[in-house]
Amino acid sequence: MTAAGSSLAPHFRHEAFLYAGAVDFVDRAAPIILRAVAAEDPVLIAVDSAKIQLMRDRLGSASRSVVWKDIRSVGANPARIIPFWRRFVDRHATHRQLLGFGEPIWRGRAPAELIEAQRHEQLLNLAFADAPNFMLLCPYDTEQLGAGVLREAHRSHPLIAESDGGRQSVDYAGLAAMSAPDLPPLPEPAGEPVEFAVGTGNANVRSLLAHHGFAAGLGAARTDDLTLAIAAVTDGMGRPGVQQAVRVWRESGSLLVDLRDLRAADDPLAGREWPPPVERAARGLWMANQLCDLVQVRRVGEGAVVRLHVTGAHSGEIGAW
Amino acid sequence: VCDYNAAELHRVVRAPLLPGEVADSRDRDDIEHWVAVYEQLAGFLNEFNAAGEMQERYRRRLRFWRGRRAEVAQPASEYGHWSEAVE
Repeated sequence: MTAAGSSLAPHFRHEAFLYAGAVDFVDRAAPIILRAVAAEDPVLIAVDSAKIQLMRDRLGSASRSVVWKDIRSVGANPARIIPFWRRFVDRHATHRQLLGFGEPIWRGRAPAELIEAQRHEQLLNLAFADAPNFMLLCPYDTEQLGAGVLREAHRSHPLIAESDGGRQSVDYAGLAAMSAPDLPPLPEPAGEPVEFAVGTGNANVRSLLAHHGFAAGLGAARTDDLTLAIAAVTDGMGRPGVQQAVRVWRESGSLLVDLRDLRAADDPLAGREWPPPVERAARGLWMANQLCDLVQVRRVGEGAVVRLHVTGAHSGEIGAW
Repeated sequence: VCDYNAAELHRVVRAPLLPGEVADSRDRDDIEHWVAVYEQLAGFLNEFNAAGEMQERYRRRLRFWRGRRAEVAQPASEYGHWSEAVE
């Protein structure tokens, strides 16, 4: 059962779907999906591959009417999730109802990823406020996730579905809070950073990153991706005539890069749009989100800091310089 | 102090995938996404007057996804793509 029937006015229905283990998820979600398939509503399910398999087995032939995405792949960087929902909503804008299941939060998410996934959940309310035909249920495994994570789910979702039924969330913080969140400052990584500046000289950013990338286990191509992401963010959000300070930390298998004293982007959805934006600041963040494993943006006073996370090889990476 | 100039961005890059890129996807939305991603990246490099080897990796991936788009762009019912598991 969901909470979606609790309001008569058509509106984007963003619902935390609390479940206790994969079997409970399949037992309760399958009837919802089958009803949507029977009504010929478009359905997109973005959960982990294990639950995809369980659900496909349960749905049988109806599973062929569903689009499946492995959230651990397409949603590893939470900022890349809203664009695929946007494409889904836009493609089927004339349909009476669209159904999505999207599970951006799972046990084992790194702390930085979890914060950004929770931010993603908030931003969904803004992103699809103009999509009254879209019903998005976000599964939360109560057997795997901590109480703090579940509390935040109540704050970021207007509706809650549990095994005993659905209801409005009394803790939902509202759209205004989603627009101007009180995000925690970025924690200082361990160790001393390498610092340099991007200005008007002729030195080589990539060569500066290369040594650290190699030591961190990044391949050449991922270091190139990081170099391009720095260039894109600096191009879009850097202050004209001001050298851009860059700080680099090496962690096992990854590099963290902070770009500070940037211009703040006004749009809270900057970097998460579809189609790709043309405005320069948003475009820089958008490209960084495609190139990096995680991008964190924080306002600091009137400006902003952007932290880029890049890990080692993805498929096909050679790893040599 | 350093800078992003053409020489900087002209490095040879090989052809690994970006995070979340699933090379065997035939989902139309995925394909449009990756075409757009590589168009953006290649276009951004163009702004730096980058040419030749520098752009080769992104251009190669762009050609790949444009080719995939052509492959799946055959007439189909509105729900034609729904029957394809994405990844």
